[in-house]
Amino acid sequence: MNPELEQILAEFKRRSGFSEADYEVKQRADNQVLVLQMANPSERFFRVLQGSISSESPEQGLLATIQKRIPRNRLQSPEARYLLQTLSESLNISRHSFGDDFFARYTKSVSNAEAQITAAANHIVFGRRGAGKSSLLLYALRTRDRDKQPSAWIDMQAYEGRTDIRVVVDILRETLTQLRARLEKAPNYKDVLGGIDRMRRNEGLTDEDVRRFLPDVRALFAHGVPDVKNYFLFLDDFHVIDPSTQSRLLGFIYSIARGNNLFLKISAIETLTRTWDSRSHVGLQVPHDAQTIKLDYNLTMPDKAAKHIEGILDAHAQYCALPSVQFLCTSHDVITRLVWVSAGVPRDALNIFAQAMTKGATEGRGRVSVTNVNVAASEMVSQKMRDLDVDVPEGPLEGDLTTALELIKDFCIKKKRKNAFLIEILNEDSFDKILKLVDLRLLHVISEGITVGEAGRKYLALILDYGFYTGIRAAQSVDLFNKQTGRIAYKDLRKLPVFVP
Amino acid sequence: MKTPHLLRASGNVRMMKENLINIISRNALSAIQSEINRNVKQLFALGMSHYNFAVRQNNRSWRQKVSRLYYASYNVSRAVRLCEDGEFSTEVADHKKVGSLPDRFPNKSSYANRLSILREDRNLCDYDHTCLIGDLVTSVPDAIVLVEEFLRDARTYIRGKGIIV
Repeated sequence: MNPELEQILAEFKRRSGFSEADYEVKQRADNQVLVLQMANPSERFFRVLQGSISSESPEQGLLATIQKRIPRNRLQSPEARYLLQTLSESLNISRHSFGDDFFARYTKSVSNAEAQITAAANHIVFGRRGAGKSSLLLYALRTRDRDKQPSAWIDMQAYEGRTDIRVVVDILRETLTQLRARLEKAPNYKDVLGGIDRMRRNEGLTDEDVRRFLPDVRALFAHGVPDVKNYFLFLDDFHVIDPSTQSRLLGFIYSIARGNNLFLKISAIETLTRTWDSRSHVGLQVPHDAQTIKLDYNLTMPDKAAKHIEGILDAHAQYCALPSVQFLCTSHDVITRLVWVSAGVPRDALNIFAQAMTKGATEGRGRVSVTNVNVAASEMVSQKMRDLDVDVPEGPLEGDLTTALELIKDFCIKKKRKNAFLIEILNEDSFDKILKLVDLRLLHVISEGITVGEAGRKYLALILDYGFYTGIRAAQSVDLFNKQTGRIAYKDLRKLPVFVP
Repeated sequence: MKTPHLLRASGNVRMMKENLINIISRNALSAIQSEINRNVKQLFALGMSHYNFAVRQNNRSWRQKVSRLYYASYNVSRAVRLCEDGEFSTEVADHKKVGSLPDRFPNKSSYANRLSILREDRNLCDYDHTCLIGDLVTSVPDAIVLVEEFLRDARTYIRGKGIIV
């Protein structure tokens, strides 16, 4: 290959991220042509290639192109390896995820929450780990970036477990620093920043000191800046703040934001979050001060959840020069099984699919099978059980949860031989444990409320995580609820066995 | 192209029209626009006639096929450029612009790259007596698909500008 083509190839790989792309060099009488080969050469790759050609040989122009080819072994193709790398990068979302390709790779939520999250209102997005909370917040952030509207993004992990009052001051400083380009036009910007720095140095800082300072910060946001409609403050993974401090912290921030063109967009795990303290009347009261967006109930609409999961995987596959995720699967049953084993949780689906791809490739197979998905899911349940140890403090609750889970497993797998069941919604500890197991993704809600017989008694419909009864295949003795991810009929829910704790 | 002809009056008839806006009447401006539109249609029709000729050839005439397919796309590309920004040229160098399409044209980069490759293949077919069918970068069936897709997208694009082609 001539040096110019080598430069173009290197530049293409660097710009696209597709470092193992197949290619051939076509030798002609008076020139060489670099022909890159992909299963689905999309516009993105041509755009990158054109950019690479013009950066290396602006005058010469033509030297390289891309052609479609179907790889002999799909799972071991460069495209599949690129997808594995991309899936791995997608498992944790930060404000920098996906760069300029964000909108091409984003798949809208099952409940179409995008219109809400971009609205000028306060929102709390609740969802389990991997449900897509941060992605939804990031969608709003990127939409605002596109519209040239200012936002600040605080990754709350940096403040994990904090209970001290200085956490308020630290978050304010980070917010004002991120918004510097717009806020510094206000006459008191430097004074406010100086005041914050003094408070950070104050060892004996009290709530009252902070409270007295907040009107100055309010004035900062109230100062009109041309072309700024409003400000958004994103607080990602808010639940990592110590529960005793959460409502107090939100109270301070909300007192700056309220009616002041500053809107809060918060993501959190619901059962680990306390936004309002009803005794001291401090915090953010739902739904008066903020509206909630819940991402936990994907399996109540399994047909939509299936489309959503497939849509997310398709977006990643197409980004990696594959026509669709189905291209890598032996049949459509692979995706329906993936939806159930991941319980509609996007991150779990990506993770399990990546594991299933690796297993298929290791076995020398060309495509992912239902068996590969089953095995990956059964291994994932061990990870979730480890989460139980990590997320639940040592003590009686941990033991209680393990016992509750064992009872449910026994009920579903041995006694009733069904993977779905009902439990009455009661304001009792036993029901709280069920919700905790839902949070840990060991149980999954398939209906939020159903009346079976007697009026006034409502039941939650749940399925036990697939990982408990799938190995190479799903246990034959367990009747799987709604295997094909169809729309759920109430008559089928009413027939489910009732678990009494 | 015989004189007098609107497209001979300026290298860019849209720019010419914009510069005459305070000099000639609204009716005269409208007549210029109608004439631009008529030429867009004729260029598109010329491209279609090359395409229809190309697909009628049998596979032994692969040189003719590739050559006419290229000319189909080149003339339709000229129609798009005339419609979009009033650009028209009869210079040889204009062939280099076969893939210079408007920013909003669908799959702009893909067409820019693949039509340029087709142009290179056409040069081999028309001028290199030693070339073999295996020297083509784009196979004949792929070239037909490429040009059909381009013609379809161009038709939609031009219609979106209010010119029925």
